[in-house]
Parts: sequence; structure tokens; C-alpha cells
Amino acid sequence: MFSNLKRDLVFPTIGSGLLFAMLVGGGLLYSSFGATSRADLVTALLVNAIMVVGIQIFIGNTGILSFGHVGFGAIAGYAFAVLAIAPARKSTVIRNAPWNLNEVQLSPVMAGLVAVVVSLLVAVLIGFGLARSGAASGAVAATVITLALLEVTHELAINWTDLTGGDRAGLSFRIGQTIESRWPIYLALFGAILIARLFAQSKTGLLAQAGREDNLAARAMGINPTVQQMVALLVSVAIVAVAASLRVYQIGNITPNFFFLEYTLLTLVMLIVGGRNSVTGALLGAVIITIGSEFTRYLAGPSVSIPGTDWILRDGLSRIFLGAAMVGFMIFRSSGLVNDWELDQWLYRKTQSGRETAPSLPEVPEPPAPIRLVVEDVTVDFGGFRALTSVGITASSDEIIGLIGPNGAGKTTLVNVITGMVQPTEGKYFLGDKQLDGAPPRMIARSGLVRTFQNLRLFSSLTVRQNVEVSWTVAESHHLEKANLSVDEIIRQSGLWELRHRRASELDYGNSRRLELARAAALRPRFLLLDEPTSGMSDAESDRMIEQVRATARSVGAGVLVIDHDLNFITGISDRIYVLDQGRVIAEGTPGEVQADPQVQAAYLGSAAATD
Amino acid sequence: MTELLQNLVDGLGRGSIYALLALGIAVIFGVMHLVNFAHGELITVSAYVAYWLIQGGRNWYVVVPMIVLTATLTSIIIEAVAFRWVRGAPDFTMLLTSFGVHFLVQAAFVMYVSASVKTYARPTWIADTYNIAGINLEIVDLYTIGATIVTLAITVWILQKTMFGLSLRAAAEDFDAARLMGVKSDRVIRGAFALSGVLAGVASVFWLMRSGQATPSAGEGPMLKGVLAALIGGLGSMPGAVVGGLVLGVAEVLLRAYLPGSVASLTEGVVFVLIALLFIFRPQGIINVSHAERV
Amino acid sequence: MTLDSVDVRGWSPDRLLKAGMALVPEHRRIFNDLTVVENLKVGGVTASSSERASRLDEMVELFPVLERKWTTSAGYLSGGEAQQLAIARALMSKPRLLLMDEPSLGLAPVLIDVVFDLIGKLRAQGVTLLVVEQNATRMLGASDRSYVLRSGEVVIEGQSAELLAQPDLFDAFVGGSHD
Repeated sequence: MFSNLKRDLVFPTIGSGLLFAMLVGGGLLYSSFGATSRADLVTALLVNAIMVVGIQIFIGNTGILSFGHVGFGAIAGYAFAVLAIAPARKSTVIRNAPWNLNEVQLSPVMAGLVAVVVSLLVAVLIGFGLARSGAASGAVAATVITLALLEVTHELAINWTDLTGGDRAGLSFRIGQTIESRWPIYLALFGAILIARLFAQSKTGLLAQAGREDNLAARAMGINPTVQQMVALLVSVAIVAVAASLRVYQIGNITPNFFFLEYTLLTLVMLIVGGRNSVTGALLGAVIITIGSEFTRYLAGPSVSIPGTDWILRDGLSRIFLGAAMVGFMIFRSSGLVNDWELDQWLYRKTQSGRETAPSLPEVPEPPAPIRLVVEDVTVDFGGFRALTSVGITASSDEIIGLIGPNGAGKTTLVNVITGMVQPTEGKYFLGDKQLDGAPPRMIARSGLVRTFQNLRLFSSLTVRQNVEVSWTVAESHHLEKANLSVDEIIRQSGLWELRHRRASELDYGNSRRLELARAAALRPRFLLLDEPTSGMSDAESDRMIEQVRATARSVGAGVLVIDHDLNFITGISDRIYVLDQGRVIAEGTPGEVQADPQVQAAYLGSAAATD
Repeated sequence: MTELLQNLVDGLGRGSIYALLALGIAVIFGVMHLVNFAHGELITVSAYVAYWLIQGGRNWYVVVPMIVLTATLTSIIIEAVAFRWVRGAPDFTMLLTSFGVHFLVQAAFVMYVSASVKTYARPTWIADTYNIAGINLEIVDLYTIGATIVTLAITVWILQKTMFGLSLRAAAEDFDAARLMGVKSDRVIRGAFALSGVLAGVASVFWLMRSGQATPSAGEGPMLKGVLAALIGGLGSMPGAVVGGLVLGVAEVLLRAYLPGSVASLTEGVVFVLIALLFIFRPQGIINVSHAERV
Repeated sequence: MTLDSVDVRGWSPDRLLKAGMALVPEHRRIFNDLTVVENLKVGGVTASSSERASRLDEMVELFPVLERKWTTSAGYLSGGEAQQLAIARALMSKPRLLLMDEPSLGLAPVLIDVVFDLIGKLRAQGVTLLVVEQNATRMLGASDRSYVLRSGEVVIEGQSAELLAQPDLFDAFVGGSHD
């Protein structure tokens, strides 16, 4: 479940404890000086913090903007209220409740559990919907589906008066019967923080974040992000349901507007002000927004009167504050105050980084029995344009094959076909005796064909090490044969050891290319398909790249199919070369043979006469 | 049969309003990939302007052009104050910005006017019906449909014949290529917001004539409808948005008329569920206005 | 970077266009949803409406192929027609300097001929052309002077005719065996 117990389990647990202690300690300190209303404010803060942490688990890890989490809260809140309110009370407001629910009474804990289960059932449905609509980070469809949930629950709450008590009255506990002790809130808060942190550090969380950063690259590596999105949704909704039950229990009633747009705004502002990709950020946001709202409410209240400020210090100021916080943060700092900074990871790096020792460079293992990649007569038509015309290629996993040709020759199309991203119009291809045409990209990745992209597609806000760990985790989950190299050894070998804690987005171009190769190598490929690994590199850098590709291929025991239009690089690295022009293979042979071929020269320089 | 026809006209009347709103949302989505949750604020601001003017004794002949003007100016101002600073940002950021603007405007009205409902006199003819061959048609529906046809015709003319319209369509397809041709991004985006504001203004006129009230959240309902209609049509497609609006309007009226009594009060919920289902099965929208194949 | 010895670094595209520089982008980037004539009009967005009208007339003469498809959506054009449209669209701003990025990319050999004929024609009309092209033989034949770039550096420059006559052109061009 975790890649590194100390980093992913021990420190997050300690960190969660610290965050919890700071939040609760600060709250108790504040409420010990002053009126009882302060205690209520702190209780509200703690409950909202649970809610926001719950929402963070989904939005933070998957990058999908959900407007619907408060809708799940509404479902849980009503389920809790209907089940926990005493029958005597219910007989006055919802006498005709369906399924005789008006006669049921459960203990608050039981009612809360049922509320969690009910909202999880809805979450499964919504989750399938999200998966079906191809939800990816920032997708509009996902926002609509979740917004629909919010609208529908609101409509139901208003109109299904037999169950909900309708728009005005709502459902309320007997006056005075509210939560007596804060212990359930403390327990839920600590649990929520801990679960959120452990989820983010878990392998599932890491893969979800990879999907958030780059859906296409994640799929090409064999990840199916919809699986992690579903898990994140369920964990998240369970916590949101607990928070909603506590909120209803604490306030003592529920009405349709309780969990609607306004609460959505409040919780989303809390999340984005702190930083949606961080649990620490979510908590920080909850504190800042609570303080800010309270302060603006105080300023607007009767106790403050500054001459000449009456036009601004008046009712509604706290709502202005929320709206302005949302717009202001989106414009000036959309990643929030702390971005994805986590207290426990910071502590881990501070205390443990010095103790990490660079692994020695691994020895080159015995190469495994070679396996052949065979492409037979592949033809691809795009509309009326024929991109490839019966292309045939054979490569063995103990060689490095170059694929060259001028711009537009069809090289990238061929890689797209082999990795399942483009379906060939005709033709077949095999890895060993496994036929791969027609299989989706992630199945092809699993069978050992791993590609890199011409335009780098790193998981840019994950660290160098996390980028490699994503591949490693994917390979592990497919039960591929045991790896030759560990994550750290791969990082060391690619020359990125000193940069292992950096974000991928902070790397320079050459190092980004190296990371991409390392990430591909960690997938335990049988074949690496490299699409222009040296584009944008200087001659010296591309010479270095030749060495790295060779060393990597040897140590993971993979064959290499490398595309480039830089003939210098290709002849330097390849055992054999195929030359593509206008979608056809026009030559094949050793670097020397190919270079001497007049047809190749013509393809590169353009034929003088086009009429042949 | 008569009943069905009456319902259809009623649905088209409603749908016309949604279509104008959806078209405005589609225009903006086209040029900057923003799903504008603040589009309803144009109606909210117009609602208060209508309230104040009528309160001040003006008649609807004055109010109508003022509403259109208000919506247009508001749209331009919102772009200048908020959206121009998040141009080119991820969709996530723009979406939340518009959500924030929506709440800011709402909060400003709560703060400076009142949270309570302000009612104003609707036009005297609003409930009049017109009888053609035994079918009772509401006059306001006919006006709405007529005004929408005229507005759409002018919009089509602008989009097809003026340099601004051509620039807008070019920018909607490939913003960078349009800039390379010399289209000024500032001008085309500001123009898109102005056009979107005019369309929302015309929609506001008929929405406000029917509702007769101004509240801080007056625009929320129609905004959601407009966004949905634009989505039904496939976000960014302008013809799609118009069709999406009409479909939504007719569907609402028919559902309300023919759903069994106990469910009829949940019409809006049912519509949302249908749309969510639509998105699950056809994420690209009902009307897939297919782009000509790229060769 | 100067244009007629005026420093134009950081200029916005519309300012460069007004200064007389236009671009035919790589992959053409024509507006598929717009008709041919609408594409041309957008190309002339920086010109006055009367200039635009007279430029349109010139395009009719220069590109008879396009005139036949005047009101067709550009998305339905063939590759060769689309390339001509991209060039015509850039010409709408009446540039003194026309930049072309890979104009022969993805075109069948016959259509490459059409593009190079057009390059010859424009040259004859006195338009300065800067063409980025990988079809070296054809390009050297069609140009006055050439630069060869490798890894961001100019490795060869000179009169095109002289370059074409070099026996080791291929090696020089692809940087083949320089070690």
C-alpha cells in the first residue's frame, strides 16, 4: 500500500497528530477566553474542517472540480436527521414519512453510519457517471454531473416534504437536544486528517495524482485513472457524510439551504485559499476563512463604529469577504497559500534527507531471453490522408533500432499505432507471440511496450522520485517479473539523484528528458519506444543521452525503438535503422548502409523532380 | 392537440430565453474556454435597474432599452475587473473565478439593497392571451419568440458579415492562429463579452417581465439553465447553444404538463438528472455539430 | 531582431503585420469552420475595408483554385488547396516579407510542385520570402540564399546555387558523420 513506510505511514501519522493538536489546541485556547459563542464558533470550525478535508481528498488527488460534495452532505444530513430525531418530535413535522421512518429512532452513531452508507451508495452511481463521462482534471462534464447532484438533492429537499419537512420548517431536534460533547468531533477530525494524509501517500493516491497531472501520459503508462478516482470519491464522500451528520447534530436542525450553493462556496473557498492539493492547506484555509468571516462579521456588527466607514462596515460584509477571497486567490494565487506543501513531508525531508544514501550503481544483469516486436503491413488513413502505407518492422529486444525520416514521414504515427493510441486501418503487430493490435493503450503498456512523448509529458507537480514511483507502482500492480533495479537505483543511474526531491516542473530540459527515460525504465519495459528523445538538445547533450539510453536499456533488459530526425544521433545509437518517407519504409540496414543509400539522401534533401 | 400546441409555444417562449443565455455563454466559452457561472449576474443587475426605474415611474418603453444597456455594460465591466486577469488560466481557475464573481455580486446586493424580494409592476398585458383557431397563446411567449428571432438574425449577421464576427469565429476555433493574422485578443474578448451581454439583456427583458421581482439571486436560476442549454448543445457550439436552449425549454414545459402529479413538482430535478445522464452517455452534447474533417 | 533596421523584438503580431511581415504557420492553421473567403478576410483584418476588397480581387487572380471554392468551409479543402489558402490568407495583409514554415509538409509530390511554383510567382512579384523547409533540393532551387541550421546554430550559409553544387551536401545538411 505504501512505497516507503517511514515517509508514507509514520511521518503522516505524526504530522496528522500535530495538525490536529494545533487546530484543537488553538481552538480551545481561543474559546477559553471569552463568551460561550466562541465555543460554538470553534465547534463550527472543527466540523467545517472535517468537511473540507473530506472534499480535499477528491478534488486534491484527482484534480476534478466537484460542485457536488455538499450535495452528498445534504443526503447524509437528511438521512442522519430523519433517523436520529425522536419519533415524538417527528410526529409533528413529518407524520407521513415514507417507510414509517417517522417511527424509527437510532442512536446518533448508528444514524451517522447509515448516513455514510446511504451517501456512499449515491457516490457509487455518481462515480460510474464520472468515469463514463471520461472525467479528467478540469473536465467540464464532471462539474456538471456533480452540480446536477447538488441541484437534485436541493429540489428533493424542498419538494419531498413528507421526508424532509420542506423548505421552511426543515427538520429539527427537540430544542436543547444537541451534541453534548466534542469528543465525536475530535475523533472524526483526527480520523479525517489521518485518512486524507495516508490516502495521498498511498499508492492509489499517487496514481490518482499522476492522472491529475497528465491523464494521457498516465493512461499510456497503463494506469486507469477512473479506478483511483472512484476510490478517492468513496473515501471522500464517507468523510463528508460524517461531517454533515455532525454539522446537523451540532446545529440541531437541517433545511434545504443548509447544504447548497452557499455552503459549497464556503467549503470551496476554504479549500482553495489554503491550497487544494494539500491537507495542511485545507486546514489552514478552514482556519483563515473562519477567522476572516468572523472578523468581518464583527466589523460589520454594532460593536464597531468608525465614522465614515458605514458604507463598507455593514451586514453582508462577510459574504463579500468570501466572494473576494475566491476571486482574489484565483487571480493572484490559484494554487493557494501552501500549494501542495505538507507538514509531515517537510518534517521528513528536514530530518531524513541527510540519512538517505545514494545507492551504488547497479551491476548489469544477465540479459533476459530476447523477444521480438513485429509490425506487419500497417496502413493508417486519417480521413483522406494516408499517413502510413503497409509499413513492416522487426526488432529484437537485444538491439537498438532507429526510425528516421523527414518531418511528416509518419514516424510518430507509427509509434501511436504500436502503443494503441491510433488504430491501424490495416495490419497487425505482435510482441513475442502476443497480438497487440486493437488492444487499448494501457493493456499494451502492461505487456511491456513503453513509450515516451515528443512533447514531454511528465507529472509536473510531482517530485522526480514520485514520477519514477508512479511507474514502479504500476509495474508492481501488474505483477510483472521482479525488477532489476529499485526506484532509487533508477534515479541514480539517470543522474538525477541530487534532484530527487525537486518537482518535475523545476527541472531543466535535459534533466526532464532524463527523467522521462527513467520513468519509462521503471515500468519494466521489454521495449522502450522513444519519440525524439533529443529534440531541443545540444550536440553534447545528445551524446550524453546516447550513453544514458544504452545504459538504461542494458540494465532493464529492454529493446529500444528510437525515433528522431537527427541522423547524427540515430547513427550514433542504433544497431539497425529503418527509414520512413511519405508513410513508407524506403530503406533498412546498418547506419553505414542507410547513410549511403541514395534514396535516403533524396528523402532528406527532397527529390529534385517530383514527377517520378 | 390544442393543449400540446399551447405547451409547445409556451416551451419555445421559455426556451428562447434559455437559448439567448446559452448563446452568450457559448460565445465566451469559444474565445476563452470559460464556463461563465457569473452570466446570471447580468440578469440580477438588470432586475434591480428595472425595479428602480419602475419605482421611479418609468414605463416599460424606457425600461427595456435600459435593461439591455445594463446587461451589456455589466458584462464588459465583469470582464475587465475579473476575467481578464485569468485569461489563459486552467479551466479550473476560470470556473471558480466566475463562481466567485457570482457570489460577490449577490453579496453586494444583499449588502447595499436588501436580501428580501423587491417586486415591481409587470407590464399590464403580461397575462393576456391571444386566441388563434381555439388555441390560447400567451402574448408574452409570442413577443419572446419574435424578439429572439430578430436578435438571433442580427447576431448571425454580425457573426457572418462583420470583421468583428469573423475575428470572433476565427478566435473561437484557433485563438493563436487568429492572433497571428492580426486579430487583437483584447478587442475580440471584450467584444465577445459585449455581445454576450446584449444577448443576456434581451433574455433579461422577457425574464424580468414575467417574474416581476428583483432579488440578489434573481439570476441564479436562469444562469443554471443557460449553462445547461449550452452544454446540451455541446459547449462552444453557437448553433448548438440555441438548439439546446429551445430543447430545454420545451422539455421543461412538457415534463411539467405530462409527469404524474407527485413528480411534477420535481421537474427541475428531473431535468438535471436527464442532463447528467446525457453527459454520462454523450459527453460531447446532444447536438454534435461536427467540425469539418481536418485533412 | 530588426525589420528595415527597426527593432521589432516583443512586437505584437498585429503590429508586425502592419509593419509588413506576415506568416504562413506550420500545419497551415487555417480556420476550418470559416469559408474560404472568410479565412481570407480574417487574413486582412489589419487592412482597411477597401484595401481588403482589392486584395480579395488579387487573390482571385492568383489562386483560381480557391475562387472555385469561395464559399466552401475551409475544412473541406484538400491538403494542397488548404496550403494555398494559408498562403493567400497571409498575403491578404500585403506583406513585404512573408515567412513560411514548412509549406510542403504533408503534401503529395504533385502538390509540392504547386507550392514551389507559387513561391516562384511571389518572388517575381517582389515579395521577400523567408521559407523554412526541409525539402532542401527544391528549396535551394527556388531560393536566392540559404541558411542551414543544426541544433540552433547556423552551420552553413551562402548562395543557394553554390550550396546545391556541393558534393557533400547530404552530410553537411544532416550533420551525418562529423566525428
